[in-house]
Amino acid sequence: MQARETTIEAPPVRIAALGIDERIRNSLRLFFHDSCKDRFQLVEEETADAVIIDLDHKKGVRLAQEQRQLHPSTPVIVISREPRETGSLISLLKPLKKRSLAKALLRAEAQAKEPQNLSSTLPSLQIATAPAMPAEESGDDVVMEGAPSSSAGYQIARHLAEKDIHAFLGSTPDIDTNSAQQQTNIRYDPNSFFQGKLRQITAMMKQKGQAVRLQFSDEAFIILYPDEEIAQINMSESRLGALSAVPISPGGLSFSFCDDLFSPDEVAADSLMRLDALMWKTALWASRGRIPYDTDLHRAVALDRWPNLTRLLLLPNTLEIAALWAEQPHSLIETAAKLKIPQRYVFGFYSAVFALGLANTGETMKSLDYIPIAADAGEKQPTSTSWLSNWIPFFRSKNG
Amino acid sequence: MKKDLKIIFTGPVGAGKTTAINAISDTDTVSTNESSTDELRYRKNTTTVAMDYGIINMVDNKRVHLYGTPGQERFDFMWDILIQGGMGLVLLVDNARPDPLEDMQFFLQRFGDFIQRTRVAIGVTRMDISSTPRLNEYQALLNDQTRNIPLFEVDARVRQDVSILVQSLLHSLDHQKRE
Ligand SMILES: Nc1nc2c(ncn2[C@@H]2O[C@H](COP(=O)(O)OP(=O)(O)O)[C@@H](O)[C@H]2O)c(=O)[nH]1
Ligand SMILES: [Mg+2]
Repeated sequence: MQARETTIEAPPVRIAALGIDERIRNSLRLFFHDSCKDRFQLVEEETADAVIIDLDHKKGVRLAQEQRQLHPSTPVIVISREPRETGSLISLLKPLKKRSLAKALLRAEAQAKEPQNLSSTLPSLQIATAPAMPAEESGDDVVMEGAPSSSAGYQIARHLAEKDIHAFLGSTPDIDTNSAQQQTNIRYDPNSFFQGKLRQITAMMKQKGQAVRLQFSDEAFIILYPDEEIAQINMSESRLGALSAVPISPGGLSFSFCDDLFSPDEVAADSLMRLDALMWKTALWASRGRIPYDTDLHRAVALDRWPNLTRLLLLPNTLEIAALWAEQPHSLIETAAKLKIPQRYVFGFYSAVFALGLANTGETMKSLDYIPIAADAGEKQPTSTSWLSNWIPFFRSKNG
Repeated sequence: MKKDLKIIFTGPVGAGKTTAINAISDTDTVSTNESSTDELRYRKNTTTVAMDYGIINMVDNKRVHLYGTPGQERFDFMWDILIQGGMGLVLLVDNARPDPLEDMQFFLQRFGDFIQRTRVAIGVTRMDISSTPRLNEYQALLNDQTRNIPLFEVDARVRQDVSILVQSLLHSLDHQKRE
């Protein structure tokens, strides 16, 4: 029995495609997979190391400006039909050619690695991945021009760029547990956030067995389906994030029961999200590295069962904390000390498992009126339009 | 911790062992296949009779060696040889088989002693083909186990899924209570 070994250092470079329609996205996926041997990976904006923006899209220019403002250190590749003044951005003309696209990607990769040499917070058991050089191929057209897409992009983001972790885990330094002030700073009331409303509405919905529609504006809505345990989300990721991160005034959320039959065929696959993934993520946005206000920092926490972590947003050390609590209950403070990680990572993870009803601290658990949502697969999704299938091309599948 | 770890992948034929080891290995995996006979009504045209093998290089220079058990009971005798020196078990269960819950129970039982000494992580595969039973039904059965076993939906073709599954096992080993 022999095996050839290749040692690899770098994880794949995560690329977000903004204002780019599904057809071009698919071409990019194929290109990343086939020609670049998964050195690059198409991901959501929040997790990206670099972005590609279509300037011909009606929001393209604005997207590019926003990128510069929000993530000045993230390299941007812009594509357009006509030559444009793009300053420091990496620009490409359509129709895209494999060779020039590969070059632009490599430049973006180099830029992404330069600016911040962030010290890695990856767990020591993090598995190294195996990217390969993009094949320098003939200049075939790789991507055709296509109509701009309006899809909000709701694939389940599983890995975060470090620079974006603060959106979910905040930046509060470790606290001195003797300081009353610091103790209050790390607490929040889940019930006053979208997280809490969602929990209440979900509980009602499950009792009634009827779908619920949450309306935010003419265009923006969320429909929750009880049987499928799926949410259809008709708003941008950033809007959902903003909605989740700010307290909601009482009565500030209108919802109604509706009898929409769930028909995934008619819904853009990437606007669907499992309910548990939605609750998990909204809890992280609300908590920003804080804990529900009545949490005892010194009470040991056990994990009742493992959340379905392959389908949830993973934050740094998530697997490590989960394993610790599954094996040996530890208090929040002990956990951070034992794993030598920032307390806010532990607090955020706690808030997320708390939202799913899986954090067991003995007594507090009994007063929780929440009915845990089964962490299972979205049911009744046709294999053809499964949003999961969108992920498959991102990864090696040598067996075809 | 020792520098090299040995992890065993097991589960019914077609659950994705070969695929998973391939997906996560940093090496080109070695697998010895023989053509399926007709009584094995599987979509695959080869089935593993010897074993799958692969290596994961960890960030801190550790290496994890992955071995897949041959899936058919006629090779059952090899299982006990294979698990010698193993540090943990990855059990893949094919959700599209007739009774996947029973499959899980069979393998947990079959490797019961080994699991007791080490740890296990379970991946339910092919949920895109058959969405039932759902994960909570598996969880309900696992309540009888003494330990809190990682259980995830896994697509064996997706490296990230397999990676999370294996990491959950490795971290569980790392934090196990030393009796
Ligand atoms: N659709 C689907 N196919 C899968 C999944 N996991 C594995 N497969 C496929 O199932 C088949 C059997 O996998 P294989 O690795 O040969 O199974 P083994 O007998 O356990 O080694 C292969 O064609 C895989 O690509 C999954 O989650 N979904
Ligand atoms: Mg096999």
